[in-house]
Amino acid sequence: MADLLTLYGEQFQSRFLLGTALYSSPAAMLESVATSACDIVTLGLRRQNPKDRDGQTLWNAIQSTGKRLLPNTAGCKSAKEAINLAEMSREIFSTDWIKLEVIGDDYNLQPCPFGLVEAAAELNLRGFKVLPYCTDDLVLCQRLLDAGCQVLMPWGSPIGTGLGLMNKYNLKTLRERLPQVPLIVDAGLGAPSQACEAMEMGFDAVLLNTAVAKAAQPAAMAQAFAAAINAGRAAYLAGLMVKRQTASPSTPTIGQPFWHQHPKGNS
Amino acid sequence: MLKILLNNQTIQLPPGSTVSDALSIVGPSEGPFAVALNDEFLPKSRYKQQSLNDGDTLDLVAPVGGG
Repeated sequence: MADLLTLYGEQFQSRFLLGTALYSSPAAMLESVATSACDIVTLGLRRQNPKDRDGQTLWNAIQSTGKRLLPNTAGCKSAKEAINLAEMSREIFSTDWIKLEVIGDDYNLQPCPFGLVEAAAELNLRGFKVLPYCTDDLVLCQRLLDAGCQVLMPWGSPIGTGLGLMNKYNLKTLRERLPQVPLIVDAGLGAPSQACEAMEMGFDAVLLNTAVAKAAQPAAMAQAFAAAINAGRAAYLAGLMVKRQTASPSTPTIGQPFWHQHPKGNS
Repeated sequence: MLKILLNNQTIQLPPGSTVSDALSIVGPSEGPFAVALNDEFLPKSRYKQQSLNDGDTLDLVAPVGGG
């Protein structure tokens, strides 16, 4: 049976969501999207000079991927800003899906829990399918679910840091306490091994951008992340062994030759 | 003449101008965009009837790469 990612009732082959920012060129972005084999790409909205041809070129490139679009509300610092930008996104992209971002701190771009819940509640009332970028705080995540969100996207670490999974206790707690909720680790991942670990922990998918876009060879890095995410998912489904403190021989000790030939303590 | 701020740039329009009038002067010639009037989303369906007042702020946004 196929192991598909289900988000808001829609199914996807890939568990890798890829951002479209920070690439050296639209061509580099397109190549990375292709090698990632992702089904969903994120993008944003910004004020632009109406005659800006660069913006049009990038938009044409993103559109040409044929991937599902997940617009974000990046840069918003209040629920009101995020709600307005979400409405603008819906009009432009003809999708109810929105990656909800409400930033609470400029230093680490930490999501604002209060603004997130307020915006999520309103957007859900307006018919949006909200995927909130949130911290790994259990109570915040529960409040977002109460507000109508069906998918959560806790951070691994602050955006663009590449620090990986900063608080594994919180992330494991989320997974254990919200077993039926699709959880996507979003932001802060810098290496495929970190994405693999998130998937081994049972997270449903990974969203990242900088680690691919800023790699020396973005397309190759996208492929590496895709392989790591697949490996982590396969390991999770296979069932990881339980860690333990003491050693345990993997080769049978019964029948071992020379067993009693060495004095104790001199083996 | 009335003065409005469009993407942080001052433009002048005849009294009684609408959002549609402003966009016909400075709006995108192609590609998707959306508009906020005084920080509130304004659906496309209202561009023609939405009149502008002196000091209004119009923001035009268009797609960019994003994470």
